[in-house]
Amino acid sequence: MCIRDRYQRRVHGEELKKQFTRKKFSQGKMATRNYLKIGRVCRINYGADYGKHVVVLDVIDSKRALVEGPNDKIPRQSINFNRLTPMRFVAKICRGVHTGILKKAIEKQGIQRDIENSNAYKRTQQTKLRAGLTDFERFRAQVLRFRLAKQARHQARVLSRGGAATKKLPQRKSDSHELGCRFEYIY
Amino acid sequence: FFFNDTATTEIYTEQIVGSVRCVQETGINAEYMGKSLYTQVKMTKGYNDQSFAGRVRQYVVTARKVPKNETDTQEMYSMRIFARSPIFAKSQFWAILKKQSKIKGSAGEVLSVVEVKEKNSRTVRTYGIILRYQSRTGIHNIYKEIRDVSLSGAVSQMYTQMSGNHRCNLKTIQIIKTHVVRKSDEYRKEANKQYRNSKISFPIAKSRRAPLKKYRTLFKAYNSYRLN
Repeated sequence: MCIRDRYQRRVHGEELKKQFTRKKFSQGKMATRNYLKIGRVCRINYGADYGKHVVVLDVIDSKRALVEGPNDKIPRQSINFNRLTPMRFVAKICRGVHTGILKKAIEKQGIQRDIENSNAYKRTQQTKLRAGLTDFERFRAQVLRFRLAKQARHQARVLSRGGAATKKLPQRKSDSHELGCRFEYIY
Repeated sequence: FFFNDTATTEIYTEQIVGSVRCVQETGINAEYMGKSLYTQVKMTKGYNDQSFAGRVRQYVVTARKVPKNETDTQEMYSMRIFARSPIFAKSQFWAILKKQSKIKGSAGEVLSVVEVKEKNSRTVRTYGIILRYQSRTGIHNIYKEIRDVSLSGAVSQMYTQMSGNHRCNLKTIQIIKTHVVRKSDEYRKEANKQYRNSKISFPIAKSRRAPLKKYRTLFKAYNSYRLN
């Protein structure tokens, strides 16, 4: 957990507790699996097409599926299950549909939007952004991080001495997003 | 025969083109020139040769006995052969034809070897393959049902299965018949029937491995790769 999360927890405790237990730290999440079925959107986790998304069109046998990813320009092909990570969304398609129909279904059902809102996709974008930062940009990000850490430490000290936490920090427009920061750094 | 001088590449490629497979890389190293022609051919064969792919293809080989003179007409034989490359296809063709007729490869001429490409490799089908194979103790017929996207893919799988389960290689197997299994009652293997279900749904094992082969390491600082 990063400094910001710890600070947030200290300050906004109860509301965040509910938020976190519902989404990230619930017991159920680790056990549930996204089942592979026809229409399941999967992320390719191995090979040249790493990180791209495909839709399962058919199951060939116990080891392979027939997939196609029109948005990522992946032609229809058989792929081993080991190379797939099923995502949380399923496209409503019939078995082995034509590419045109698949494209329409993806568009209509907003699959691309779901992919772009998924954490995995956001993380890959962030990684790419961070990899392309110049030294100066990295320095700017560091400055922001240090600033926030300082704030968090100060607040923590205030709280430990029994004082009241500052719930609202002075807001200043920050360039945290373009520097690859996952969350908005205030100040 | 040996090339002893490091002359320019153009001369040697021209000499090679007519007789053997042309060397693909344009910049041939000087050191290759020093080696014999036979070694050169061997080195290039690995990159492009179909027979190294491991995948079996379908060919239609047509041949006949060499006609004695211009007016003589000979019967043409056409056969569907599964082989790794056209050379193997021809070889298989003559091996089978020799058993059925009096024609030998040396007395015959191959008229054409055409690869049959799958018309539609975008749908999954179940192929029923009847074959005859020679085991260590006798000759048996086997029926195999294999799910694949193309016939040649199914046959490739079949050969792999046969070699794994029955220890027989390509040469000891003869394919008698291949067909597409369509109706539910035509299925002879229960295991393949389950894939006909459009509502099929099952979990798959989470793969924890490096995203590319080159990132594989024996030792890693942390316990496991992050799950995607």
